[in-house]
Amino acid sequence: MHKTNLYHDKRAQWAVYAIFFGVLALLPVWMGDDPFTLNQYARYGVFGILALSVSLVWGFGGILSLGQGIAFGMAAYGMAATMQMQYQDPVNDPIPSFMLTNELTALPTVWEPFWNTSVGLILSMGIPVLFFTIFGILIFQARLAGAFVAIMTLAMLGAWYNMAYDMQPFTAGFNGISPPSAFKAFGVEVDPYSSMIYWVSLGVLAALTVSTKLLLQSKFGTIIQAIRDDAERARFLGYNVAFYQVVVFALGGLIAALGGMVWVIIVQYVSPTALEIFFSITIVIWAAVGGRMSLFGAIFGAIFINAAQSYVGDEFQATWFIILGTIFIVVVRFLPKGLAGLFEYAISFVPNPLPAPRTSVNSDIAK
Amino acid sequence: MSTILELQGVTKAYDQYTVVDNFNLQVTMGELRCLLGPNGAGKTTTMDLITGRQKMTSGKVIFNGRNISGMTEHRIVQQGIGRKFQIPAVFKDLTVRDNLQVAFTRTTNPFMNMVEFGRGGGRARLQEVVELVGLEKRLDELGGNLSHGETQWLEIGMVLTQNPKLLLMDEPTAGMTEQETQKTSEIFNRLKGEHTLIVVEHDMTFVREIADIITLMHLGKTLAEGPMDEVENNPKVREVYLGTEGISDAA
Ligand SMILES: Nc1ncnc2c1ncn2[C@@H]1O[C@H](COP(=O)(O)OP(=O)(O)O)[C@@H](O)[C@H]1O
Ligand SMILES: [Mg+2]
Repeated sequence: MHKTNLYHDKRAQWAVYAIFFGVLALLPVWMGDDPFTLNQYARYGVFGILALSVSLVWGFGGILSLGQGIAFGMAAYGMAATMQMQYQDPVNDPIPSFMLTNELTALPTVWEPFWNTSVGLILSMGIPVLFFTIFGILIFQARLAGAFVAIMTLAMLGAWYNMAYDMQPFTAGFNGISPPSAFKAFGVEVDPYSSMIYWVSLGVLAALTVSTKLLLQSKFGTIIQAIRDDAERARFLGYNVAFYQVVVFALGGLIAALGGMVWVIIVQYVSPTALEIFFSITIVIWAAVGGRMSLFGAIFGAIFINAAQSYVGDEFQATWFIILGTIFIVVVRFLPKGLAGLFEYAISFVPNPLPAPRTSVNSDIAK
Repeated sequence: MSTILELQGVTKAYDQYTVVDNFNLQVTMGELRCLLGPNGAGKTTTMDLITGRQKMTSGKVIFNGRNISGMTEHRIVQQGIGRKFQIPAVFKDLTVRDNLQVAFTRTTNPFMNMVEFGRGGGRARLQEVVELVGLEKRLDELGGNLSHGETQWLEIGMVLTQNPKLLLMDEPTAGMTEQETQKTSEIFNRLKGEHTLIVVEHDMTFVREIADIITLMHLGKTLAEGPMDEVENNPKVREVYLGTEGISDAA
């Protein structure tokens, strides 16, 4: 036994991940094949992915982005286009029906690459990352921070929303795109009402969580937290602060983009609602409630709030946003580290049963 | 002996108000220079101009034979200039260990640091620094939980971990108790010779204990320069501080 709070013990953290994802992976086996529940849980996985991106960017990187929906939405449209073109036939039926109703006589050039599934996947992922990189360079080279970043990302999200809405012939506008068939890759069809969709969603969430955790344990992870604490101090230690912030922002975009791609495989649909301002703000609330400074906390917050929302049932849906807003205010005011912070405090009273890690200056300082 | 830092006619003006006025300075390798002067003399601004935190109106800063005027802050740091701020700045949500870890900059490239899990070198350096500033027992404490004196030492330790050729220390003993100041002057005396330092200080006992040469600034200009007793007896200095008990009262 030793003094370190179990909460901060890396071994305990990895053990929690292993148990959490292990138990979740076995869920379909245990509860049988209820297709609608599995589809619902797969959606929770995507909410977890989005909260993960906010935790990295805001909780650890100190960048309050209200525009995670930009990457999510862009990737969702990319994925929808990919799935739509899997359905179209190059010879007999090359133009999606919504384009025909919008009086297009040829497939728009921007849609051409999506004939190829691999190219479609790469674009769905790559374009949001490229956009976040360029947008990030503009924001962070100018040394914007705090509320300015929040407002800029929000405004940019609004612009993309309008674009998706207005470019009717390309995006089907308000109606959105609903690819008629399920996503196919490597000869396998991912049925959105099956255990497979659940495992795809959980697998992406688990892989992204583990990668992000490793990233945070690297020196890069310590440096971005240092920048969050005091950017000026970090700059005068020789770090190009803007460079680090752009990388964190772009990685957050990548995670949200992957969430958007999985989302469209699950729901077989995309519309401008993916780019709605309210949705992106909600993601930030999930992470804040669960605990933005804990990857696990943020993911838990996303699942917990969505489960609560479906549990309270239809009669409360109208007031749900008021309930959510109230929870958010209470958490921000009394629990700045969210539910994870509460847990951290509670567990500090439990003696750490694990043997002490090596702590001599010699062996540990450069760890 | 070779000059490591040279300021040539460095000027910083706001509208009509000139804060640093055609200021010249030469610092020799291995020297400990004390920069003195009343509040508002332009000492912090001078450090800002050297490190690129503020853009100078005119003039030139030559470091290690290279014109560093106009470089971005992190590029200047990478040339080998470390800096401790007047208002102590450490990473409050990181442990003392992580604070020092971040200061140990083998590479500043984000992608290289993603695959850096710290199993390599640097331990000897960190061990040395931790002992020098006396924070061995505080390694797992959060930066934000340190006492004022400890915060100052941690920041000094961070600058030392960087291992810069030139260290700029802005009021390192501000807010310290007499004992803490004593310990700090011991630290500085051990740094002398190995490092080149410019130290801004108000505490005259401290200055007497550590300084080689003093540069006394007044209204953005050099008022006097030389060893302590020479500066103290300079008639110009006596004139400026007329009615006071000399420069000891400048604080
Ligand atoms: N942004 C600014 N605009 C106008 N005057 C300033 C500004 N920043 C600092 N000053 C003035 O510059 C002078 C020098 O300040 P500073 O370098 O901090 O002095 P010191 O460190 O020697 O006490 C002060 O008189 C201060 O009021
Ligand atoms: Mg000052």
